[in-house]
Amino acid sequence: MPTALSSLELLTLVAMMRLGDEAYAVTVRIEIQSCTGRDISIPAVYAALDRLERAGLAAPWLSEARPERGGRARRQFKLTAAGRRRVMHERESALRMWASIPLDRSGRKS
Amino acid sequence: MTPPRLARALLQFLARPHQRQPMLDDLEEAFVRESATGPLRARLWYWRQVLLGIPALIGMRLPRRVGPGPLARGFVIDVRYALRSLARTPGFTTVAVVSLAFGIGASTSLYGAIRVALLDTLGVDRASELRLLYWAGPDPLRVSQYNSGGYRDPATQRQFRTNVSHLTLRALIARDSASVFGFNFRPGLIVEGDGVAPVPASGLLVSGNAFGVLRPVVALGRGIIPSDDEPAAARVAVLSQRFWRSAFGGDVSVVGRSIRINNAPFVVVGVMAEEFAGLSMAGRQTPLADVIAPVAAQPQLWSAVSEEIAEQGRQTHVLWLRVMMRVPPGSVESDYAATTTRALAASLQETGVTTEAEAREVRVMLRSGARGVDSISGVADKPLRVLGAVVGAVVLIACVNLAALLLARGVARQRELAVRQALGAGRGRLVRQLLAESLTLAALGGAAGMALALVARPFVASMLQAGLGTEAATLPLDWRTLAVAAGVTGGAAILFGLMPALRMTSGGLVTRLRQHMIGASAPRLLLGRVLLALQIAVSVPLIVASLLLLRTLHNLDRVDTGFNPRGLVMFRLDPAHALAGASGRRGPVSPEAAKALASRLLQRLEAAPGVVSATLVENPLLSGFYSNNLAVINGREVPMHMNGVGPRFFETLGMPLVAGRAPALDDDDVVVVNQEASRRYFGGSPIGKRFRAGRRDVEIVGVAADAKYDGVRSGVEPTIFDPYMQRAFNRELNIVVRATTRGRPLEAELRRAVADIAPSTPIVGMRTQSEQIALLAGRERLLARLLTLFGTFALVLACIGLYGATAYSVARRTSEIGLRVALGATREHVLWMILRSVFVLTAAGLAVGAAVSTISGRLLQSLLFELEPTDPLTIAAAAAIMFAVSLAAGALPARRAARIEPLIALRRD
Repeated sequence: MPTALSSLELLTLVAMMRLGDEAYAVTVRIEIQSCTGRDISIPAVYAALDRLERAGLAAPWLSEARPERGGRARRQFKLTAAGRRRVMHERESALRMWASIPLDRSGRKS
Repeated sequence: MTPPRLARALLQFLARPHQRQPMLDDLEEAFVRESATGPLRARLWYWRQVLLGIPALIGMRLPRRVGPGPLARGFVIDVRYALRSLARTPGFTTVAVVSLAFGIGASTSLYGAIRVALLDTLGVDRASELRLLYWAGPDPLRVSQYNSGGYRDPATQRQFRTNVSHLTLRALIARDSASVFGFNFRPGLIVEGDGVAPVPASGLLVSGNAFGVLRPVVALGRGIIPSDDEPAAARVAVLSQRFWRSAFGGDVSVVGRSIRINNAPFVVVGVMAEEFAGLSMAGRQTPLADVIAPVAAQPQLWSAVSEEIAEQGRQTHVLWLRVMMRVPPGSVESDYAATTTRALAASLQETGVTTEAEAREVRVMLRSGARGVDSISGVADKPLRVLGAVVGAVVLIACVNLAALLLARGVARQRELAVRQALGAGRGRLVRQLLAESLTLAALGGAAGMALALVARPFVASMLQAGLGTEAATLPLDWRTLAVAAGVTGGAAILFGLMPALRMTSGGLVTRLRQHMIGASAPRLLLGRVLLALQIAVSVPLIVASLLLLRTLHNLDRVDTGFNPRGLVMFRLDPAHALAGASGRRGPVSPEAAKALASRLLQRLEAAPGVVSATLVENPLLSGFYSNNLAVINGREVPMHMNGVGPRFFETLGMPLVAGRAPALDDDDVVVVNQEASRRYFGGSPIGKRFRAGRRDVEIVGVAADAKYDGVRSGVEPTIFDPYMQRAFNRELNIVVRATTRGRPLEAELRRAVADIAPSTPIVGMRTQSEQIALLAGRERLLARLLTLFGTFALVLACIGLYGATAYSVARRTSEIGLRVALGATREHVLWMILRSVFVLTAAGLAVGAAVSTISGRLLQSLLFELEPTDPLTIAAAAAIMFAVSLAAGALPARRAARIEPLIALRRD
């Protein structure tokens, strides 16, 4: 049984999958905000990325030197194979759970 | 636009090293995007990011698995709930956060000050091993001392002194050069060089082995070595880091450069690291060292000593060096003291300072040198200890106040908590939630307090400098300070949070389910009232102390100094430098040249617009300094205070002559004595009498009215005023000017006048006599200010607390009051009923507080002037203030109670 992910960690994983090569703290945060409305702080995103890295689900890599950063590289993240598998697993589990619930807003099961 | 620096610094501090720069860069990128919404919003956004990110940043430093644990989740929920709950009661939250911020900010600032002024040690390796030598011999000793320290042993009342002669020092070093070295402070130097205008500097002379014993860190070049300390060696100097930056612009090519110190050529051989600034912690009389030179440079840098040696014909009786030693770890201190005593006694006897019999009486005391010579000064000791007690009281008051407020607030939630417990919530879980609320409050207060401490840093530093005379470096803001702040915050949270939390979750469930906020069944909150009384009890000593100090300042102001201090300005300059002038060659100052210079200077000053008269003085009055010497009167040797004075001295200072005349310009061997000397030694009619003052036979030509000399607090001692012009000028000239103008225009005129006579000689220490007097009372003023500030804060909190308690009591007793009014009670009766409970509470607190003041007042005793710490008038005034505050606090609720309509009130319950 894989270790439980907090909601922020899961959202971060999914955001990274959506962003592909453009995934770093700033873009992950914007992605989560635009899709869920949750306003996360950048350090919180870093914390989530840090935990995902330790769990082997994400890996950091450095971009090329960026002039707007004074010649420093950007610390970006990509999903590992385990991370990608985990995202798919979570998606399938969620779809199975949600499948039995219609989109009817009254909440009645039809 | 750049992100807010403080937020950025906080992030830098908390982030882990490998994430720091990327995180900063990412935040800056997002910040730039946010800037489109406007600069203020962007800055707020940045702050929000950092503050909200604090739990994550701290969490990253802890080892964790993926996913939050149940405890953490619960805590996060509790904190969120607490924040929402606090946001619903903004008034309470504001009072709580502000009072905590005050207490925590004050304690953090004070901790920094205490660190710098009391705890920090010299910037050398293992400073705790250093000891200063003090010795006591037979009294009186016919020696000349230069810049010496003294200490009166309270146990034996023997006077210990610090200085030894150069010969004695050499004997002591010869026995143990690895542990013993000599030094002394030589303020009042003038340093100049190519591209460096003449600038005043403080010097430190050390024996050649000093650096070997002290092992300070040298940043550039090298330190002083034994071969530098030879009479024939080339003159070298080492600069302090601070002086190197200010006078030499931090130029790394300074090593090897030639400079002139007091017009003598020196070569700079090194620059010290930042942490070593001499052998003092910057007391007023022992300033931080700017320049360090070997003892062998004394003839160039301290000609007064050389001239004394020449005059005496021997150096054995000229004591101008202090001794410091490093006691090796593991050695028994008493053994060390014993061997030092033997060595010192032997040397004193060999050099003829004492006889063999007297040498046996020599006693040695080794006092801690970890803070250099300022371990002993104790100037900052007392006030800081008082401040420590005060800040502790302030934090306690804030916490007690909060506990009382939380208790009252908790009454409204009793039912909610009881319901939750009835539904199965454990008591522990509820207490945890309430504690989370306290911790959140404490964290908010702590953060605000830290910010307050940061903002107040420059003010606190300059206040301390003005008050304690220390050149306090910037107050430290490092992990230790933060740890103290965090500790105080956490402690406060538990202090004010735990008790109400336990209280609100205890007791029978049924009783609490039935509890109402209004009506007779509402709890009386006796504990809350006890806490309020305690708060008042702690506030009273603060108010009493503040009043005592204010009265002391008033008393000090009222002291008749014996002269007219208003309109006087003083400053110093170095005559030898002025005489060296264009030639740059500084030789021994001949009395004729010095007199001529002084005359020209005084003449030019008196011609300046606004100046009424000008004069010289050896020790400016009320500067904390005095000279003394032995006089022989009618065959008896008596110690007398002395002060060298220039022409027109008495007239310039407004010190009347009650008999005879002032010495004329070309008078030789005449003196003026003060009334005290006249009474004590000359039977009230001293004019024409002769006696021996120091080494000269003099005749008394005048009697001056008694006046204060070194300080306002000291009594008037018998004093001799001898003409300064008769002496050889081998030290700085202190010039005093009486003027009708003030401020910058006068200062400009005086500088212009001096520049006409001595173009390149810097003027040092220009200040008015009033400023000088205020300096003396610096500690008292500082404490008075702070105590008044804290006392006011305590009163405000007490007022709020009393108001809250009274309002609650009125609400609780609404139906009772309605009933009383219906039964015939008058409004005045109701008013008095409410106010009486307030006064009873205040009286209870006052009684305890007054008792505590009598004890705490003793802390202040040495700072008070013409006032006892248990002064009844002061305590009565404090009581009156307290009652006035409680009246103000209770007035509004009492008036509301008096207006209660019985019908409405009775219907309510």
